Amino acid sequence: MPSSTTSRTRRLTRRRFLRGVGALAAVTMTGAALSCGPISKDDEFGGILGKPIPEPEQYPEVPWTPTVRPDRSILRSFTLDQARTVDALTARIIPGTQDDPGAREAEVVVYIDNMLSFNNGSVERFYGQPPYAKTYQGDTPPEQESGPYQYVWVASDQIDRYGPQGVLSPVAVYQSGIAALNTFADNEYGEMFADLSEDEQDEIVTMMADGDDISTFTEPSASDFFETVRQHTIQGYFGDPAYGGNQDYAGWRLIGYPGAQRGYTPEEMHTDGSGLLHQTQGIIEMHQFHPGEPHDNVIRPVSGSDDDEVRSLLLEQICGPSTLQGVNVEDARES
Amino acid sequence: MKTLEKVDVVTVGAGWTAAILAWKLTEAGYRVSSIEQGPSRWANPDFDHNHDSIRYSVRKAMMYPLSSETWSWRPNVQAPSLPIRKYGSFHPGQGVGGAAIHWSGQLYRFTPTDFNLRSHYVEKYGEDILPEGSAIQDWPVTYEELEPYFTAFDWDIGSSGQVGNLNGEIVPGGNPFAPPFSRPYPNPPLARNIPSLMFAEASEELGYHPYPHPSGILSRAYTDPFGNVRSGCLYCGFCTRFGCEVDAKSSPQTTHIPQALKTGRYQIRPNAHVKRVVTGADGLATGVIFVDDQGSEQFQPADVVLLTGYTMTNVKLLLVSRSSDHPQGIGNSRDMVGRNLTHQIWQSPVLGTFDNRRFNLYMGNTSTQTALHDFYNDNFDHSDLDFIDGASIFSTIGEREPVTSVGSLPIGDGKKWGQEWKETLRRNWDNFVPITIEGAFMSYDFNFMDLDPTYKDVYGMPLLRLTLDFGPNERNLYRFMAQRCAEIMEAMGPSNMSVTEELGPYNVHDYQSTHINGGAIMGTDPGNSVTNSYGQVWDTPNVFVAGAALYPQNAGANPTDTLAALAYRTGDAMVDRYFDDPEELLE
Repeated sequence: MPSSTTSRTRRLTRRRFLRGVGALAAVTMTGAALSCGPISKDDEFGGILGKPIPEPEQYPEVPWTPTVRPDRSILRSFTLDQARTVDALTARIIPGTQDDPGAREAEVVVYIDNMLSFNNGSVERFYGQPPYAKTYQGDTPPEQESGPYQYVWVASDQIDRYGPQGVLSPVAVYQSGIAALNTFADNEYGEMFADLSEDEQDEIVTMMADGDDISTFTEPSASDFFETVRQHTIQGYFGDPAYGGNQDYAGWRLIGYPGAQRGYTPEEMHTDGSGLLHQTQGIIEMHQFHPGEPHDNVIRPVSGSDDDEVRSLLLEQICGPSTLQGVNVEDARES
Repeated sequence: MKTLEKVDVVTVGAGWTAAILAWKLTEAGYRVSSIEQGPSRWANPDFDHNHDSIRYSVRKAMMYPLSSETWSWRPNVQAPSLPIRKYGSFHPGQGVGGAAIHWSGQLYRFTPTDFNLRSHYVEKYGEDILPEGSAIQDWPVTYEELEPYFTAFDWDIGSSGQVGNLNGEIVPGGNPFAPPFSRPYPNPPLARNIPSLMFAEASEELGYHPYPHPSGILSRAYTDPFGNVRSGCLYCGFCTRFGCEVDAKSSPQTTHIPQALKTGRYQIRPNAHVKRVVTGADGLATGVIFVDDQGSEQFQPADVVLLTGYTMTNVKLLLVSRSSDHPQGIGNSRDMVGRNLTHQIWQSPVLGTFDNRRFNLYMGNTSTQTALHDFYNDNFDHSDLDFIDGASIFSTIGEREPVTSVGSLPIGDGKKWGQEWKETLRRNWDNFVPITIEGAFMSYDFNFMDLDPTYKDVYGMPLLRLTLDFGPNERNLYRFMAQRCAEIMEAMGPSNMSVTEELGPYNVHDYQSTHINGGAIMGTDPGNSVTNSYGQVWDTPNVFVAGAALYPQNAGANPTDTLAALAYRTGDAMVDRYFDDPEELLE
């Protein structure tokens, strides 16, 4: 091994060793000086190699939790007309009023618009390699169509078992679906979807939800487009407000959910509705849980920070008066 | 290609079986290196601010990077295979700790009858009871042999539960059908939610034997045998698919990895993907080739290769590691690799609602509930039944997150949009109660894994292809269990309930547990298996397989405790005997 690698490895060995066992070294000591325990005697080997990746970058294909709500006055993906269309559709999925907010009042369209601004809306991992599927009716697949393109033929009554097989990005799904919806609305009612009455909108949504063939839709189909918007409406209305929807916790208040809490007690679990005595909060409001910051009723993780200051705070906390659900640490140690 | 310094043992990944074996082997003086595909991560700082349902539950941030590598699926050999493009019916992990970071913590020991399944049913009911196409077979290991390892694992990680059978004595409050434990759980059961207490009362009235769900999550602060002090569960409600920020949920990071690192002989190489196992002139493994974080291939030589990845990772590595000595892959000289693919019947046949109640089901986790083993395996008479084996029945889990649960309402066939749906959610979101079964999944000749002829991963290797569907046993078992669940729900007195009486066709989009099993099964000889009872590959004895790929069929319970016990046993056998006579099969 080159010497530069060796020295880095050794340093990381020590760091990582402490990361792994430093905290427990601290907690198993009572009053004595902090001891590191046996450190690798081997200069060439051991530990966790490479530089640690910060959590926000560990899974780069999935956007990191927002730390501030997105600015609702900025559209990042939709045109104004597209936003109006999607807003109107979400408002039929979860209707509302000012006093009883639905998807519109909760600003679900802000959630969807912001989601689509990340990597064309691909916010989950997706295996995108061809060839793609094409469905057929009947018992046997048709002869391969003339032309240069390869497909995998799947019976139309079986394709749903295979999970999502669509080729379009979420942005493309919205662009195509919105256009098809407005064309249909214009053909049938002479206006854009957003400008129809709620009853007229519901007539169209019913057709989409029931899987009726709506000729202006191709890819995605009307029912697939509706299901996509419905899922995103659920995410926007019931997801964390940090993502742009669920304004004033509208979705959580509807169903009785207090949001992101650090913990509950068994007594709370056993008492109807007691969780709602907690102040409703999202992840932005949830207090930080970083090392060194004292918190009631929690023993610090074993697999944690290797920072000296943190370890001494740990020691203080754990060897101090900290209790957990009536179990004193000293008792736990003897158990 | 760069060749690294040789180590004694290399493992695929740094998940739980890798960590257990690394701990055993490094303590015995051997050098172990784990090649881990994902990042290094720890409770602090990585899990301390993660109560984000969108990122972890909807978008599945911690899961295996299937944009790089996925699996293809087809229901049968007549149908085409297509890649699983988005996460669905199972959720493998990545990163240090593997799926044991985002696991649920449900902790069950397989029972004596799970291990001698075939002979038990044939002897008691006759050969005709076996389902058509059955490929089930006995394990080459018994519960009695594994019991000390179950106990060691349960105490090392700090399990929680009420023992039901202590050295053959039935203990009130626990599972009377449990196999004999030599020690009780070190911690009491977790608190249970309200409907789980209602379920317990109702099922007792029906004459059943409900008990608190056993768990790998600490119910109170615990000092483990290594001296680690850990927090008890805070019932925060962000558990499955999340890392635990207080280390109450047991994982390789809480227990085995720190012990292995402490020896100075354990090394983890994160962000490196094992591509294939290399064999030498004598047909034995010489190490693994992996792709590092810069995209370059490197060779890690080793005396022993441990296939300790997820079930499908291990099976694929066997199949793609071809050479003149292993033209069909390692372990596959008799065409046994890929056989006995099974999953789990994870379904909620019954949903009930309880108007005007608020059960706080967003608190807790999947262990804060009641379980019932009256219909597990052969705990009930199968003489007049059209299936073998059985299921665990569960009351209802906690950790209910709005984004992933509102789709369950309304129960029955109501529409899921509009004002009426909104009113249903307002009325019933915190009082709808599923009853869930975790059913056994039998192995058949028609369910197997092989390499996909069309689709490839980003490393240029073929995808592993699953040919998998429910068989007759699964459909019949489900139908029976759905009736039992309905009877219990009726006794709980719901405002409204719905029953799904028949099991639908298998699909790859509805989550039904991450318990994919088989493909490199253990057995008594090379004619019926890929490995011996230690996971040692018959035709390449310095390659060992760990994990649920070894299971000849799946039981009606979670696989983790059993695969951990098997890894403990293999680790001890390697330390005690393998290195005295390396490259020879362990007796």
